[in-house]
Amino acid sequence: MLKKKQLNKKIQHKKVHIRPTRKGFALQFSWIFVLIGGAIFLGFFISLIRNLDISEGQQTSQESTRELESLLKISSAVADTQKIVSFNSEKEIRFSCIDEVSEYLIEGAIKAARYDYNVIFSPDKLRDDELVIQASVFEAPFRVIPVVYLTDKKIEYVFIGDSPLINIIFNSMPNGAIKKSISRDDFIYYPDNNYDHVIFVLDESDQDLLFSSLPNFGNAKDRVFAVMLTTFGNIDYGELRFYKYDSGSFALDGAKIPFLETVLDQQKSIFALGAVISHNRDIYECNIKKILRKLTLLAELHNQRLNLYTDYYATAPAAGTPLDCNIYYRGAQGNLSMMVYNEGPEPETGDFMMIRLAINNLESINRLIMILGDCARIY
Amino acid sequence: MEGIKMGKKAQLQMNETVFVVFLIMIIIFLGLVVLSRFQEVSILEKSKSLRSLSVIESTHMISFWPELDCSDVKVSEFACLDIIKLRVLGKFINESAQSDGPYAFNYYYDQLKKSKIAVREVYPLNTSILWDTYWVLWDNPGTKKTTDSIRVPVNLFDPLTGRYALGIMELQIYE
Repeated sequence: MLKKKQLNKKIQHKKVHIRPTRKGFALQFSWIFVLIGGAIFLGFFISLIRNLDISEGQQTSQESTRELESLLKISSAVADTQKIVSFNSEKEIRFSCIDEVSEYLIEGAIKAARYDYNVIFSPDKLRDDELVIQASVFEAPFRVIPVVYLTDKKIEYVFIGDSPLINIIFNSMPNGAIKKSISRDDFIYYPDNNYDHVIFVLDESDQDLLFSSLPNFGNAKDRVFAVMLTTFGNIDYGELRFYKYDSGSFALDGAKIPFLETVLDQQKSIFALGAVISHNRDIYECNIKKILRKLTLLAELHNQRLNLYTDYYATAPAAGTPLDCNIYYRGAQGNLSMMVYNEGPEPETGDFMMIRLAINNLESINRLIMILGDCARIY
Repeated sequence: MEGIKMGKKAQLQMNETVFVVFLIMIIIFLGLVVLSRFQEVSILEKSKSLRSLSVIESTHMISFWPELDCSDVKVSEFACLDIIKLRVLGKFINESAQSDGPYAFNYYYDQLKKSKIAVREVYPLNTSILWDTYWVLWDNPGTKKTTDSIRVPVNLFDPLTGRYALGIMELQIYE
């Protein structure tokens, strides 16, 4: 009997416990539901904020790309300008210029900006927030194409010796760029000033320096470069060799490649300066091909223009000396045809020699036309 | 019996919670729609300003093109176009688009893209011995005009007569 009573009590006690358990289950379910819902909401908002943050970063990089694009476009429109631009992105800009495709990509940007038809001599990588920009024009002897040089203050350019061409390149460097002129004796113990890149510029007479090691440069791999210039009596054209420093000496980076200077009389270098600024053979080669293609195009345009001049002077009753004018124009057309660049594997020094010769002749013919005064100028 | 009653209450509470969650989701959805609308407006504003900037850049660029400028022995004048060069270049671009190698057309396409650029002599008329007063430099229309036709005053120079004229460069950018 006692046992039965105790059992009933236990059941009663259990029943008392069952009732709040069901209620508790309902309440618990509701809380779990709220918890799951809350977690989903939280996850949604976290992912939203994360996505917004990522897209904000991409947008900033894209805006920087656009900003740089405008900057380069405007620079290429106004020749002989220099500027130091505070570029707020503080992100790495990677340049590549291979064959027909030239582009730069700002770290974090989704899309690279293309500049397939603009000449921009720059290193393959820029990181500083201050960009140094200089614009010039390649002339042959008429204006051909704007040339933009782009570097930063974390790259040091060291010029060895004082040969005429080295001096002209040194003086052509943008004002804001870090440049230094040293004698050949100072080369070996040149101090490592902790720049991202150090570029030594020398001419062939100092070639032996490239076989020596640089004891002050502990970590020199992918940091130290050299550009060597070779001229053949006339400093208007020649060859360039690019070197990279690795394991205690400089190693040749690719084959020699020609350069051509047309405005040395103005104490300005265009091609060799581009080689020094970029210190990258691929970027240099790609840019000189663009210049040569544009020169071909402009030579063709000038040729067509001279055809119109010839027609005019052959029939114009008011023209003073039509025959003389047309002789000059035909001579000019012959020289323009020498400027045509035939797409090949690589430009050669011989081609540049011919172009230089044609430029000299065209300059002389134009000067004569100006002295005559009766004919329209070629350029 | 009491347990079943509590279950119904819990169900009711659950329905209530689901309703609240649903309502909150609708509010969030509406918020996102409004936000995207605002963003759309700001993106449109931005693209409009970028297009205007691009037109200004193009005008500036063209007036300094070696193909067109009236360079007087390495001295280039601001916004001065040689009319013989205009005539030759317009013809050259049109011909190269049809027959020549892709370089010439691609070169100018990269700079001018989908646009129409024309130059009109305004005053005095017919200064050129070639009797041209209107030159279409580039005509590559797209599907939709993205800006109004922008007109920029330019100097026109005839190298054969040495005469100057006032001209208008008209730029129309397409999508």
